[in-house]
Amino acid sequence: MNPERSRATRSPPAEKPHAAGWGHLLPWTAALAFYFLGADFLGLGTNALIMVLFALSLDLVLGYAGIITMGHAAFFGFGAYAAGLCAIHVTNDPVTGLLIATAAAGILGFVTGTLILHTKGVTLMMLTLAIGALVAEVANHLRDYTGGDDGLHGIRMAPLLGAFRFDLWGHTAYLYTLAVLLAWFALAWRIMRSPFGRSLDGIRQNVRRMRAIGTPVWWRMVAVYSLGAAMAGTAGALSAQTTRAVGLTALELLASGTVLMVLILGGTRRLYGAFAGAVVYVVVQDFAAQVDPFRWMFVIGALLMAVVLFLENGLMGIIDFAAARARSLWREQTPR
Amino acid sequence: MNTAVAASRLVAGYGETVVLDDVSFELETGRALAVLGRNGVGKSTLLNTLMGFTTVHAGQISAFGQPLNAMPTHHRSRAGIGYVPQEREIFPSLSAMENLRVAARARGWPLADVFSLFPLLGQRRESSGGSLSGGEQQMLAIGRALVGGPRLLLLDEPMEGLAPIVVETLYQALAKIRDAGGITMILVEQHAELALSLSQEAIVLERGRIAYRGPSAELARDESTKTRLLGVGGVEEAK
Repeated sequence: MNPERSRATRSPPAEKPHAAGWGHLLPWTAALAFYFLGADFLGLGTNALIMVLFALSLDLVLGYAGIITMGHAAFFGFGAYAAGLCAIHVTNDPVTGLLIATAAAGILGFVTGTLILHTKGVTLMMLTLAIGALVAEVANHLRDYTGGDDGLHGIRMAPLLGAFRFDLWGHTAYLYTLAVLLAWFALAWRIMRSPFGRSLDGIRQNVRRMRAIGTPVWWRMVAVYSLGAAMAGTAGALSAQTTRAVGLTALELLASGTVLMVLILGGTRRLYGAFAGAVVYVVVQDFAAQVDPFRWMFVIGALLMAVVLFLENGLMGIIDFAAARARSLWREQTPR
Repeated sequence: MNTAVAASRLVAGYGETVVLDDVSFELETGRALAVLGRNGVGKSTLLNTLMGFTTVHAGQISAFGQPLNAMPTHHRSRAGIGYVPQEREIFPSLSAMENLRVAARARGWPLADVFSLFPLLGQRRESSGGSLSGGEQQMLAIGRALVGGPRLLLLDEPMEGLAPIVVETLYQALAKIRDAGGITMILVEQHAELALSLSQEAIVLERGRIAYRGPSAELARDESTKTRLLGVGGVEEAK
């Protein structure tokens, strides 16, 4: 075979096979260990896990399928309001509320996706922005139901599975959120390794080629957009159920920007990038806000700039480098 | 014999720009057609038009009796048109196996058959598309078209830029595909001699129009026509 090497466009690596297996244990063991070791910070931990799920949902849409969106918070907020309203008016069973909110956000994603995914680039970005603004404005106008600017309060959740009360210290909320995150993560992991998931990667890289091999590109994009919306809705519902309040901020552009920042910080198309980004973001935000409550965004901004300028694959790039170095050292140390 | 592809007074191009002007031809099922011509005469545009990547200004084009003019690209693929583009367009971050799997259909070639056709590709099935050599990428591009189960295979300069030994491998593979039967082929190629030996029929395009149409064997023997339409350099180079 000729020695010539490809000049094909280089693309950031997707999650590598070696990340499977033992690699899975580390983040989940750490998350579980935090429950026992960080008992005083379970509220913060729950927020981080919700942010992980939210960022994960964006990773499916933006990272894998390449759908540029600036209105992803619409689904997070919609799920939050759906769960809150469900708890107040229908049933306060957390699992039922979570499923209803997930379905509601997924349906919103499907309806809006079918309308806007014919477009691309800046037009698509503007349309996602407009959808976010529309949903926020609707929530603001339906003051009688949503509380408008004052937010939705009075959410009382029944014990989880009829046995575990949502206590003040956040034990139940943390484990509940962790379990839901694990379920969604496993599903996302499976989907992204299926031919459907790989076709999303193909769509992001070359839409024309995917059409030429018979892929119904538009439907695949609508499907992943709806899936991402449902997942964001779950994150919003968890937020409403664990904090027992929903505000308009959940729907605002800032929330969409924040989750985008988290994903870029962690690294796109990695799934675990959402983990790294969300944990670092929430922790840095918390500590920086304690040091200076007015200028903490400066620290986040500087961190983001550093990551974008120096780490092509986000924080996951550091983990990749460390893992590669460790493997190399291991090989050197191991006698042949 | 059934007609696999038919173009009637086809005028097509990119946006307002017309590249193919009044092109008409028919190709019967199971036959191989070589599309020859100098650079920029519309050879690739003909394949792009069959795939739905161009603007059809006038005329009709059909495959297996189905009109293609208004058919979306992904439906054309499902109707049995497989396309191997000039740039190969491998998905660089997907492994060779994943590149095949995203295109695989139940009626398509089994992966084992593709790896049997291209053993080297089988050895590199777990390598990312972007790390394959040009020849391996071309094998993958052809394999990706085959796993979709094409009845009509469009090949746009598959030998371009490849080392002679790779060209020989691909030539043998294309001959096997042709001889296996059931697949109609349209081959756009600068290597006129190779294309003519792989095909039964040939057309030569000149300024977007068909300047010659006839049996490949006849054109292969007709040095004056080849010199006039393809240029001495092109033919000599191919030799």
